[in-house]
Amino acid sequence: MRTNKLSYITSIIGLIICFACASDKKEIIEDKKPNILFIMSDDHTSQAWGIYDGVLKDYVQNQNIERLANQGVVLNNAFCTNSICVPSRAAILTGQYSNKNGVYTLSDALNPDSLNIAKLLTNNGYQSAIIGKWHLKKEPSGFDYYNILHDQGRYWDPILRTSENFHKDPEAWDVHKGFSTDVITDLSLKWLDTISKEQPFLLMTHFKATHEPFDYPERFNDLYKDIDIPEPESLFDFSTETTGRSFIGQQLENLSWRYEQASNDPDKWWCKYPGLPFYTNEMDSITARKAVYQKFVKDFMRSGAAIDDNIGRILDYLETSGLAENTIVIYTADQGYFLGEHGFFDKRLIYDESLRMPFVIRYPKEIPAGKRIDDIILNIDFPALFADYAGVDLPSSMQGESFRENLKGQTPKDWRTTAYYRYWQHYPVRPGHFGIRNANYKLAFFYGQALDMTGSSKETTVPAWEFYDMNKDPKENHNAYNDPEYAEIIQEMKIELQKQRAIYGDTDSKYPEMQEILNEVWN
Amino acid sequence: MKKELLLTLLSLFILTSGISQDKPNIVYINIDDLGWTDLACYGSSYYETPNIDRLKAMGMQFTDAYASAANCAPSRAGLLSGQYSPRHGVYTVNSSERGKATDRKLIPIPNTNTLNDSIITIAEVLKKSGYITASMGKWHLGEDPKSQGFDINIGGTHAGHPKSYFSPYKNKNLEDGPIGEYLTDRLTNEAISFLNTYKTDTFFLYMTYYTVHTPLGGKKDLIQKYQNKTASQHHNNATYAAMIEAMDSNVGRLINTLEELNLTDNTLIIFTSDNGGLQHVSGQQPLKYGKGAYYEGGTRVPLIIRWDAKIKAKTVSKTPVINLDFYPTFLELIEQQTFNDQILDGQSLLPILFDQGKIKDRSLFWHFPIYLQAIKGLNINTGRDSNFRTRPGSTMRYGKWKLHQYFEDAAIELYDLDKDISETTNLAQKHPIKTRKLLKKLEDWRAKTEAPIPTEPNPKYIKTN
Repeated sequence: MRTNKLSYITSIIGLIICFACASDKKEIIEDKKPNILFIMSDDHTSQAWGIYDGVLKDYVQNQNIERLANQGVVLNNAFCTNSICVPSRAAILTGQYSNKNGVYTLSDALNPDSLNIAKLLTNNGYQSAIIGKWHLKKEPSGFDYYNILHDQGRYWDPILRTSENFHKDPEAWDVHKGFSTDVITDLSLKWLDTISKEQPFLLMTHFKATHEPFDYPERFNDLYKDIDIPEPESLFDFSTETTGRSFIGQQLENLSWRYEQASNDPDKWWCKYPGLPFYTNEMDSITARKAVYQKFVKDFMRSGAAIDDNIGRILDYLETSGLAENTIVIYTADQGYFLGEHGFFDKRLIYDESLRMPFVIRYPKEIPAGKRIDDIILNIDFPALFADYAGVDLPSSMQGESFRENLKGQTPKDWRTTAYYRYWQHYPVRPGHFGIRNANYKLAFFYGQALDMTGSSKETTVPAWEFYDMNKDPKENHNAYNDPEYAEIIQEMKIELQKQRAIYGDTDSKYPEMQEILNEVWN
Repeated sequence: MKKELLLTLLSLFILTSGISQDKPNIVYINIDDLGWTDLACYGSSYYETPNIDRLKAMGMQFTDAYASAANCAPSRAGLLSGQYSPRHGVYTVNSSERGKATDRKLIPIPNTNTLNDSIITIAEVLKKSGYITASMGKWHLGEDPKSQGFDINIGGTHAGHPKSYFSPYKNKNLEDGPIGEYLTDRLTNEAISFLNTYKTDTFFLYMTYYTVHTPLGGKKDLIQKYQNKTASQHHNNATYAAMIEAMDSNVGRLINTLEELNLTDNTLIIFTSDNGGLQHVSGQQPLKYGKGAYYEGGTRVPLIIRWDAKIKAKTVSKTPVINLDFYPTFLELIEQQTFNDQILDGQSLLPILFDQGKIKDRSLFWHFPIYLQAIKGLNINTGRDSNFRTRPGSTMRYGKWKLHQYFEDAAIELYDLDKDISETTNLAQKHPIKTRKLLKKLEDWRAKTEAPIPTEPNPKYIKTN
């Protein structure tokens, strides 16, 4: 019923737009600023997109991601600057690294007074909205309209807050019946129905999916039912010795433990996993890891399938409403995620699975179809790109750069060749670290200190370096830091790392304990 | 005849005394050849045993538990009979003349390979007391445990090790499973189905896994896991580590079943081994040597006992105990007096388990008038020489003292285990009075148990130096 009604409405809007265009077509096209539809999911990592190769590529449902990719450009090397939800979202809005925008960890809030891309565009004639996951605690600022999940949000019958009820008691917030990804799409399309067609828009549609607990709507219950999903080669990496890492990381056994807790007492656990009870405690470690991998990755891909079909609904809407031509459509994820690689789940680490942001952009007016680019793009570049499309000067406080020319296939000669990364929320299994990645190598320093970070462990770890040859060892299975063959390259990269830290003002000058560690290790 | 009469008397006694309704179930898990150092909770950094570590955390761990012999058959004979070796005559596995004849100075005492039917085993007592008794896994003391008090036998034969850890098993008392089925998994499946069938009865499950005895056989992917893991100095065999992990997860399955059936409040769970670990497979350092020798590595074993309703969790006992103690422990549990004819050499452990005080001051003894050759091709020093894991002798432990006596050369060794768990410094010369007193205890014990000492020279012996 809803779809019928919707398509009826969209057709009418389409007609109206066509009539509007017909009168003075040429002029409007040239003058009209493009709409920006930024669709972002949570943790929907490149390995589960199907267009980034990998063992899952023949298993994921990605017809609409492919549809976007065929019509636009895919970034092979878009990287996150701090691979965890809250900080990554803050970086995308502010164009700043965590040390500038003040959002370092999951527990931090974005200050509503800080400058963000929505403010910039809204002040320059854009209608703007954010719908779905926000997670930045305080009230969104700069958007004409927001309808955001409370906190992480839940998958079923999600609770959303608007400016009408944001500051009211929880009873006043809106419960929307249905599955989160469907609901967020419905609300996004509904907002598009309401706005003026004369002004451009910025719409940020942020799905909760595919975040833990990796849930999905009933229509995917039987997807992958009786099949085995292939395993990544490093699934049975059990110990630091295998790779020469200095820390154990978030191993799948921790996810098994979570499933077990939730199976024992579903009401006590913080989230509701589908398909419980699930136990591995009677299995040997190999069998258990295989079992938790299968459950986890199937749920993850089902959750992803619901994103893909909702992207399809959005693309269909744009086409039937006539908005497609003048709307830049982006689909990305706030960061990557480990799907069993290294025996891990979760994100946070500088390794590629977690570091890489899958990213596709379609804007047929100036972006070629079906191309991929290797340039290093950072999440802080996204607002710079939007500002560029909107014809707004980029404020000097924003640290990113527009990659509009790169997307056209005209990469500026002086484009960056190094990505700087920093993860702050220290815990011994995944220590605080920073590092750089270029086309060939990665160098990371796990300093292992909580500093004054919220939600961090005071238990420190012994500082350790890691180095990977991304050509010889693209899966990062061998820490080659002590390999004499790379001594010279590592030395050069340390200098580059210091340079990058200086560029972004991330020098730890206010932390004496870091100064002490750094003084010792730069050599 | 005599045995039948005894059993009749025994059952009459039990009937007249009235059967207590809340006798606990007993699950006795024996891992074949599992060494004292072979669990994470006993100090291994290479082997992974989360389920047994958890069992430890829920019960009492013994640091100084002993098997009554340094290899399988005599240790099991001791467990089931409650008697020291001289009383049942099972001193070793197969012949007592193992090793080159020219290296053996004495004619050893002949070995007994089958536990004499006249002995009333603990299984017989429990069965007569109304327990459903089942033996699952290795038996080794005759053709079939059913002749020694077990209602059910799964996979028990006279053989001391499996022909294969993967189906087809070629075991006359175990139907083959699907090709490639793993024996350790299979035995647990059998045990789980037994527990489900008899959950409302009172049962004694003698869970005597074939693992981790040779021929080593582990699951391929688990072996690979341990090949990738940094080994420790003495634990470095990936196949053995894989067997240990598979064993551990199966022990986990068994315990989980007991938990799911709500039986742990009324079930005494014992986890242990029948002798030390095989030194060339899994080094038992800091203990000296391993399976087959009567140094600590050969006889000291892991022991964990859990009984949720009765035993305090996370407790540790340092009291030296021996597997002969289980027979009288079980008797006391079922409020059954010992009966006149069969001497029991152990003591009930209930005072320790229930935290009700100490057990009677005593010595532990081992008597092994036999030769056991060194593992072929491996010339690791076996403690006293490189040809034999042990030569004929006796040992004893009293408090912190460990005394060895060897009959070929009348050698005496005395060690202070508190200071020298590795038995490196022989204190016999330094403490002559202590040595003499301990030797007297040993001689008295041998006299009491009529322990035979080999004295006849071996004509085939060739003196080499």
